[in-house]
Amino acid sequence: MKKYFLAIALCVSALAVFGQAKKPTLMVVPSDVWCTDNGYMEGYDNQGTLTLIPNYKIALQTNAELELVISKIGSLMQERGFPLKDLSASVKSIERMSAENSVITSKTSGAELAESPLDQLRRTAKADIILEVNWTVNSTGPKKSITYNLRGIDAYTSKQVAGAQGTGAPSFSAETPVLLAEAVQDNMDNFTSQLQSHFDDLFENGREVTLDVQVFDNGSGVDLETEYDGTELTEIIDDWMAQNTVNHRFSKTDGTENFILFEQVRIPLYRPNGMAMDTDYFARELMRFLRKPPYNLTCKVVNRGLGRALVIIGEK
Amino acid sequence: MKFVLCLLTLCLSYVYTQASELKKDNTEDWRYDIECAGSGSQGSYLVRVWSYGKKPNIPSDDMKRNAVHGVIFKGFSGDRGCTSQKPMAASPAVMEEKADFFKAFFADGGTCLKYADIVGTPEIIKVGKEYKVGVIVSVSKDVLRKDLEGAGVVKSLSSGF
Repeated sequence: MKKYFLAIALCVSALAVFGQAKKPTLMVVPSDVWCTDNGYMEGYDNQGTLTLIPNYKIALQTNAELELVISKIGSLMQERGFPLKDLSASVKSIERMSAENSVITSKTSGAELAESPLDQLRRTAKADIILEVNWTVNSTGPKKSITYNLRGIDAYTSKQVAGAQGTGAPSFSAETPVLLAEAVQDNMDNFTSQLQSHFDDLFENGREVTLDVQVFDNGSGVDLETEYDGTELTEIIDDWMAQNTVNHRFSKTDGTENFILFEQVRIPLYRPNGMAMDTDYFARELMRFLRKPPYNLTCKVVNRGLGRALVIIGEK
Repeated sequence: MKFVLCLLTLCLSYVYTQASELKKDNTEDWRYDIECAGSGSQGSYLVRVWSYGKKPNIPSDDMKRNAVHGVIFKGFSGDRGCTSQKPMAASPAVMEEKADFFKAFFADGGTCLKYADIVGTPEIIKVGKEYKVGVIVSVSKDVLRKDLEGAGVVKSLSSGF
């Protein structure tokens, strides 16, 4: 009898897990404008061009207002059942993991952990939806007010999926942190309402993702213009995309014989077996298709997060 | 005499019916205006609700009911630094789709009243033959949203994930 109960409980929990789409991660970061205004940008020489990048670590360690805004947004989102990934904790965790990984060796041969330059480059704080926050304190005589702007940007499609902005009521007496907390609180419901519309669209029309297809330059002679029964490989991939996207929705934004960029690709939220689908799985399906005859192509899939993947044709 | 009494009873019952119909018109037709009245404490909205009536003494429960209805279905605009808010419900059609729920929710002494508190004293303006009564109401929007999510009226942000 106990066994039956256990089996039923397992089935019910499995169904509950299968019925859920992959939840996007959200993280609040200060906008580049805010970092520039407050002196948290760092410059580096990128092949002769001065490139500025924000130094989040210093900003988080030294700016109390930023910490207040991030924690206020975080607590309001948690109340709405959507806890955020914390930027400060992510930065610390990455540093700790890097330090730990550098000293891990195997017991038998003393081998270190395998790590490619790509692995190192990818070890950064990231999320599926970036909440970019910016504010300025306006002063008119003794009166102060806050102009606040919060934008939710899909990390893979680069589209703004939610936003809330406005200038609060001027105050003679309130301190800046109080005005800031008020600005966050007053604008949060409009922001989450737009985020909800984005999620509703996602459930109705599938997840919008980006897929890159590239070719290894290995001298095999196979590229995206290679023909199979008179049809170029790029057209074959187009047909596969049309058959496997929700309502055949995708845009071939760019492409040559060496690469294709598919944007606004609507992939189903669930696999045929009911489990949640992500772009990595979608790209692997394309890889399996190209591996079969008559193409017999070896492919490599590079996962770039929940909403972006790269398929490289030619080798692993 | 019997006839006169009977006629009087009929007249009185007609007047009573008309009066209650009028009350219903004002509350159930949702004739009110709502606007932002400032930044509320965490988890609440501060709104000014203008209700209409033939007499200036509009019951406070009616004004609270209008405020909660406005937060759910109308949203409100704001100016001079006051932030406009969208309605909680995805569309006004939700009122009809969940008619059974809202009938009990907005009924006399219904649960909607527990989310609203009147702040300050009413402001009365005579407009033509009727009165426009404005009052500031604090609506506990976080608790309201949670309860509406629980009842399946409003979608939770994390639903489906």
